[in-house]
Amino acid sequence: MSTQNTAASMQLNFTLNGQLLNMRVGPARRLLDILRLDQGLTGPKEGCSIGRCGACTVQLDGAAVPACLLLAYQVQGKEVSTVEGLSSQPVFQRVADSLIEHGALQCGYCIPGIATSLTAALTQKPHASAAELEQAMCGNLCRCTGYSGLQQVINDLASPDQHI
Amino acid sequence: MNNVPTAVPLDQAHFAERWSARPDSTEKVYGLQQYPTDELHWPGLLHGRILRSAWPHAHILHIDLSQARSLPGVRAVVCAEDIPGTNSYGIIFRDQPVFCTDRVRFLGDAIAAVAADSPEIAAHALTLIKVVYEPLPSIGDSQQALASGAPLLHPDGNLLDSSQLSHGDIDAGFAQCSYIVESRYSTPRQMHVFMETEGGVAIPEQDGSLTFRVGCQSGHRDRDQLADILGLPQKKVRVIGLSTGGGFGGKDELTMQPAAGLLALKTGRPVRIHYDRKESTRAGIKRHPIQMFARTGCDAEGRLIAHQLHAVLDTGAYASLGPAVLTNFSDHAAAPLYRIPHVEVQGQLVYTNNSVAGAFRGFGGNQATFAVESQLDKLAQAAGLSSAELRRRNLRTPDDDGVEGQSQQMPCHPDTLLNSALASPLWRLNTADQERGRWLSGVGMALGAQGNGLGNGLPDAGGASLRLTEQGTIQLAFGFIEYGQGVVAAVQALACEALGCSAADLEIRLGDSNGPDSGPTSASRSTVIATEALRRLRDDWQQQLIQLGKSLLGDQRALRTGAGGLWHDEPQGERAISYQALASRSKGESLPTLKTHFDFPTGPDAQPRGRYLQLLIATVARVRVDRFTGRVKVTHLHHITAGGKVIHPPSYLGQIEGAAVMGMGMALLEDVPMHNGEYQLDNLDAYLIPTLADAPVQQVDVIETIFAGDQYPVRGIGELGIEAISPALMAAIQDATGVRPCDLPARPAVLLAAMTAAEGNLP
Amino acid sequence: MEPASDTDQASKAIPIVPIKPMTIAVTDRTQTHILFPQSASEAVALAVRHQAPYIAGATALQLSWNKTANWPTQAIALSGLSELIGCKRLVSSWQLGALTSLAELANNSALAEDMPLLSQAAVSVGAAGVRQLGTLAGNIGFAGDLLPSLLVLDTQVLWIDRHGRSQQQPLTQWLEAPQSQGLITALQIPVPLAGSLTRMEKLASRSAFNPPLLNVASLQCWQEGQLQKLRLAIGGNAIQPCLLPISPHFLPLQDSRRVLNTALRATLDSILPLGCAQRDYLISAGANLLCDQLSPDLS
Repeated sequence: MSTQNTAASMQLNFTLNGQLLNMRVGPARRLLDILRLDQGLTGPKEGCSIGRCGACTVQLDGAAVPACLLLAYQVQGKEVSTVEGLSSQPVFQRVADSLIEHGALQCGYCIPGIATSLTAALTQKPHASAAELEQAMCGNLCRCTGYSGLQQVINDLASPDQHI
Repeated sequence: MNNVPTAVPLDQAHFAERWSARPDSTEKVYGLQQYPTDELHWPGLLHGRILRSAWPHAHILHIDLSQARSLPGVRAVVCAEDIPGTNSYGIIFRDQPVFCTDRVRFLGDAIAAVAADSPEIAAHALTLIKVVYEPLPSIGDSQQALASGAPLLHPDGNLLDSSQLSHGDIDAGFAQCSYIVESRYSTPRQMHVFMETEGGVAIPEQDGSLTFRVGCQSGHRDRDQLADILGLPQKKVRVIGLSTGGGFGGKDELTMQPAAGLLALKTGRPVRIHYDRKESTRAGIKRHPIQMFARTGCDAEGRLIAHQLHAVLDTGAYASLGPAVLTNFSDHAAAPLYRIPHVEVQGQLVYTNNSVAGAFRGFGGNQATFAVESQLDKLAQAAGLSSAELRRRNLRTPDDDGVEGQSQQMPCHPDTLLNSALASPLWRLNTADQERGRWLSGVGMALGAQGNGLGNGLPDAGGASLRLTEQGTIQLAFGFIEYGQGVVAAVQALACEALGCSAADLEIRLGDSNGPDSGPTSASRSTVIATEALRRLRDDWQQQLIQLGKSLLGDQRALRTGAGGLWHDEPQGERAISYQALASRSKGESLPTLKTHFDFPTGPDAQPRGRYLQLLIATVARVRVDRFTGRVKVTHLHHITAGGKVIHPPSYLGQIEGAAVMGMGMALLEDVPMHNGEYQLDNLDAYLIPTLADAPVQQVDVIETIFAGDQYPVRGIGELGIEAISPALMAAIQDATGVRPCDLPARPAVLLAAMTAAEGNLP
Repeated sequence: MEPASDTDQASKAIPIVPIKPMTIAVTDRTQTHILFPQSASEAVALAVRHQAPYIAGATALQLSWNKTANWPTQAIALSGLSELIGCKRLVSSWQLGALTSLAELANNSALAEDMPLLSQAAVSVGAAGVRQLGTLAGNIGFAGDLLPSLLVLDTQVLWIDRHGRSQQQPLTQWLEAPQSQGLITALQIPVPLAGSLTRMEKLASRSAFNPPLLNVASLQCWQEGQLQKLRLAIGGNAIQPCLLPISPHFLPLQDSRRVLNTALRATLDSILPLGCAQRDYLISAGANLLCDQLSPDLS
């Protein structure tokens, strides 16, 4: 019995990094697989497959979400952005510069997800406090740094009233 | 450089000149870095999956691959029969099968592997592989393993190794003590949780050779084993250790390479295997869980007289680096920072049907230090002394030999760190406890030591190559692999200083088994090897370049190496010739090409054991404990480190901070519980590591000065930060609550019960 | 999976704990057809016809399907159904659409003003990313973190039954007997009266992003120095969410924290299933948290 004979499929249209795409795809196909396997975008990474680590973070209509938990049909008509597409945005660049300046990465595997989450948070709330940014970032795990660099980045980028 | 050593804060203010971003920062942040598991672009790429054992302990009666092989989209299914060479691997003993034949010894054992057109087909194919097992009673812990009548997991029995380290007469020693404390301690089966799990690609080449592009820690050693497994000559196997997402010891052994290589040979196509987190949990290496019993005593003045520590380490189904961990554990268990005339350490390394335990940052040392430092605190309390005072009266001096009688090179006197730790502002921090006394604050400290290298007596060599290319780049190659620890930044900084060039002139090549063998990227040895290699190459390099420059310029004025090329060696001297010009104008003249290979620095005399180069750390920890739930929040950490010269400050800082939080995880959160060889969890929903919200504020101070005559000013600090954190946290918890956990992780449930019992009333 | 029949030796009595062999999805996500109803009643009709589950964010559902290696052949997608979307303030209550994401709940400032308990509970679930995907309905379906808070707030469930009829019942009843193929469309929550004190807390191992080990919530309504209403609720991944069976006179009877704590422990002891993991800890910590919520000023 071949999997392909009974495969479900749908016509999916969505915007990816500013480009309108349409494709025939299984409706329950993971967005992460569409991005990495089908579209060749390896910025979002797979760290746990259950939405507990943040390595797969992408933006869906501007909100940071785990791509490993998104099913294809759920992005119908929406805008998906990965780190590859965000890199030209000023907010992202500000985030990236701060991450680099404060040495907030070592192996770097978590950092596209972190950059994507932080960019989404700052774009949605340009005057976010440090506490709000910290809350936005707790779903992005890092094993190398102990988060000290990220703490400094948040203090750097947050509205100056409250620091961690 | 022998003035009184002072601890200097490791920050931009104090280290401005040496501060720079890691060279690989931009491509990583922008998502351009291709990790081993990102290599999805290979034409004809197949997706591989490995079938794991269904039982922790069983005989295999029959394996039937036929149904899997006939699934459309499956290109190969392999098992033990398909292995051309040796069906085993392992760094010390090759006792772990690539694919099991007649017996499985833990749930992560590999039985077979498939390669298919898509990940879904590969997954489906696994379900079609029929394996008939005869389950056997499983050995769930070390006690069961050592009990008489227990099934033997390996031909020589279940005791893989034992250690015995003693000085003096332990019974006579205890007889002299005025105060004796004894306690059990235990440390968990911690998981590395590198964010990038095991994975990579095996690519068959036109000439019949095989290239691996993978996450690993020792490409040359892996190459040797893979050649044996795949029945290929070594020169037909190439391992490229790409910059990978974390190692910490968990990628020291072979992982998916044998299966991927075999599938690539069978299909003639590139094969990718990437463990998902569940598979990594199931099959990956773990930290040794250790059960300890310690007894320590001192005289009426608080001088340590006797110290005894017995331990059992659960090494799991196969040997891996267990024996080396046992050795390092025993060394640290003998309380190497303290002078104790009567010492007895006994360790047993035991096979069970649990996860294979092996290399993990700290390598047995930090588990031992947890017990030793805890014992000293208990003893201080019994003797009516402060923890600091008990230590001060007993610290080993830099002139003393190490616990194994080996010469050791300390960076400074340990009491420098003790004094700096006592001066930490954390002791006096005023915290407003806002929630009506709900949170109890406490401060504590501990000391630790860490050695570099694999240990004297073990083959521990390294090398490098250095040449000027035809394009005029300075190509410097090491076998080391970058997995986050910052070897790429350290090598760049070291090279610029030794060779007198700028970063832009350099082309650094790492991790290629076709290049020089620098030994494994582990044991905090890379920076030491890199420093020594450059020291050995430097003079010849400069001489050859200068000679070349003079002959090309037809000029005998003095030259020196510099940024971009050779410069006139005189005040206001200008650049004489660029590296590119040196290269392009050297028609017929061979360009400088140098190599070096040498042994890791050991002591001045032949030593059987122990590590020569030592580093020191003191960690002061501040915590808050929730009286209602027993949860511990670590608010501040202050580390004083004596790790030699700081090569790249952000990397040094990041490694201490990261190691400390990893140790905090071991102390408070992390464990892979197993029952009868079965895992009680399988992913990050139940295995919790620290998040950003758990992160303490950290400060790291460094003491860079070393003793006159110490020829190794540069040490490796990758593991130092994990050494003293656990006992420091437990001391802080005791300060806050009166309770001192002896079993790690110190779970809220246990702490709450103990606090409630100690207080005798309810909040 | 038992070994094949020709191995009689294997079925001899060997004292081994049987375990589930490693399996991968036989029916995997590639075979799952998603159906897209245009209305809530169409959704119900499809669910009944195909005996198919509803999916909203599907975050918890897909993980459980992966774990059991069993994806459904069909699933009914609820995204975009207007009856399930939107939060509105009615005269004295809020009506929250079943598809309201946890992020929306957490960020709705008007809701936070009226019912800070719910915002607090929403923020305690997972982390920011999964909160975008998780929904109210999904959280209820999976004995999630929100339930104790919803219970103390006297939440009503608005739903459509398998016959297409609109229904309303207290959440307590829904939890006791959830109807298969019943589709929750919204929750209706009365705004707590002035003088209400509401608190919740999640028992945690780390500082954020914790599994739902235990949640406790409380609501006290004081008027003219008299306690008019008291609700306590608990829930967790091994504990069926429920209101604690306490009488309205429970609190005034406790004249010290110690006495209150003991009474709470006894109540929790009577509720928690005997085999429940970490039972003693949950009783101890749960009582401490509830005690603090009820009597911060008691000595």
